[in-house]
Amino acid sequence: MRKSAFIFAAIAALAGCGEKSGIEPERMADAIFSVIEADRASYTNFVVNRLANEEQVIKADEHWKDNKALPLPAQMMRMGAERVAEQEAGFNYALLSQWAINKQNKPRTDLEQQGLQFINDNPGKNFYGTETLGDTEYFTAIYPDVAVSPACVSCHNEHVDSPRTDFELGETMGGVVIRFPM
Amino acid sequence: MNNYKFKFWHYGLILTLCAAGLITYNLEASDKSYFLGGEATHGHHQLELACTTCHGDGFAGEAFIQQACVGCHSEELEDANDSHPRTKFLDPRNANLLKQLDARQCVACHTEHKPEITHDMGVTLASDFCVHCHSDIAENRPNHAEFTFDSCASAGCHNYHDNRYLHEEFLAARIGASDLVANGQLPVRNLVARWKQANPQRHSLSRNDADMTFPGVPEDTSAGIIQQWATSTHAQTDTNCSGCHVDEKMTFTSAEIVELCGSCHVDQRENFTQGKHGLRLSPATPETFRKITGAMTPAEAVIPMKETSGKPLSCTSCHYAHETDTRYAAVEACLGCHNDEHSLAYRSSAHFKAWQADSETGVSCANCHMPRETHGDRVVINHNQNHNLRPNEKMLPVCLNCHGVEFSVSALADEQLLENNFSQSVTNRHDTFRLIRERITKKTSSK
Repeated sequence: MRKSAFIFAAIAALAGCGEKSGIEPERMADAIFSVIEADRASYTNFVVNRLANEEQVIKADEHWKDNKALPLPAQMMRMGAERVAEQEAGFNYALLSQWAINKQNKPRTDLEQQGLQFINDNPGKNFYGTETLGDTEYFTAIYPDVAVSPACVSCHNEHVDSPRTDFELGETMGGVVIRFPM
Repeated sequence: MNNYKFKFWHYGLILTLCAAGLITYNLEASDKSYFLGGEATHGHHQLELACTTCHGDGFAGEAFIQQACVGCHSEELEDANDSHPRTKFLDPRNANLLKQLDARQCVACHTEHKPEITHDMGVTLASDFCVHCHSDIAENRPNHAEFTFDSCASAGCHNYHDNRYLHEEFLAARIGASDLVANGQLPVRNLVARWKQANPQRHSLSRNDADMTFPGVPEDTSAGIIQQWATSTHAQTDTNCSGCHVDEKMTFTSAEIVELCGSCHVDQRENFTQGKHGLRLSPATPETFRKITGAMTPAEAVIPMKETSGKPLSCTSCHYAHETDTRYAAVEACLGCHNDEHSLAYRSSAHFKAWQADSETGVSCANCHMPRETHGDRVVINHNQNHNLRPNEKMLPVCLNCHGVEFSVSALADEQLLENNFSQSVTNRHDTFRLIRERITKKTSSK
């Protein structure tokens, strides 16, 4: 009995040695979101809002290339997301909203619907879950995307294709969705 | 030997060996034409025997083929501000859509060597392919409910890749302009003026400065050549005979001509070898292919050409070697080969009449198909005549120099007008402008 217990303990100890200690997906997603959110808020406040709205030296425009203007904050974020996807960095992210101006950015999967509703109903809280897309299972985290500057609110409230026109500063306008394949 | 009795299998063996020898010769030493899996599209037919460009060693997989597409077309797609770049489809949330149509791969929509299913733009899908991802368009844009999905990617509405000149803001900003712009004019060429400005110490040359003699050439012929050169832009820009006839070389292949001219006219050579005229001389093709097939000849074209045109194409097919007459290159050279309805109708068009009266304000073949592009203070003639050909809205920046946007889009979308080279008035205005006006009204009233 004592011998069996010793063998069992030794195997358990060895198994523990072989196990890599990783970062929990939630923690990893939170860290990635903090970078995305910091860049997004900085670009929105210190570039777009300052130059386009306050100092009015350049416009921010959807057709920024043609019109020699600044990319909109949502476009800037999508450009980053596409570069990350192209590099096959091991995760993907997207900016979605139930009130998206571009309808391709409305929630598409069941978990996206559920998560965006959750962060809207529970300000300040994040949503975590798993879902299968194609043949792959993903860990999916959804974070509130808050109106950090008057530029966000005025643009979305005034856009002819915006399905909602009563956004206020500090309100959740959509969500940042981060995914890892499991 | 005479008594040797051939058995049936002997004949079979000899036949097999002969066939194997012939096939091996075609693969290793000839043009590989036996291995062509089917006629290539109009965009690639010049290169259909440059197999390794797209297929590598023959066993290269999808990734190699995708890279081959991107290798040649990525710059063009970037310029076009591609509406559907591959990166757009890498998000896992598109997994279900990709099961229906894997838009990450060019060949999902453009399968080569399948002439029986190839449509305009080399697309090998049914023409209502937009429905795969945009089935809910009527819900998001109710004014689109009246349209069918096979009409999305039609002239004047949308393109899959290039919508630079079709998006709402571009059209809305220009709507209402008159059909004919007052004092409309193309950008003025400035190559020689810029050269003179950059080289004030150098001077134009005259007949007496020619630094070559022509041994064995009749005197009146050589005098004629020198006279042509003396009135050319080459003489104006201090380029003497020996600048081209290095070591007194007198005969050149098409490839050598393109190489020689390109040593000074770098942009022109790059553009020329990107278009159908010069594609076979592109450095992107294997050297063995260039050696075996040589330059493109008009007789090998898939559109109607005149029977009299036949020499391999190079710079001097359109520009005389010594005269460099751009008026000839802009019309006569084109019509010397092209024999389709659009080309044949040109001389009856208002564009031609205006060009005959004044080549600076009129419109030649080259003015539309080899557009003058402004890059900073440089006005460059784009020598890739396919650059703005398909989809034809890519030609709008040229048209808009002289015409209003509504007139231009409507003309480019009218197949009859394209065929008769705009020899009739534009009577049918494109429906897209009705929708744009509705949007403008909606935007105004929502403010």
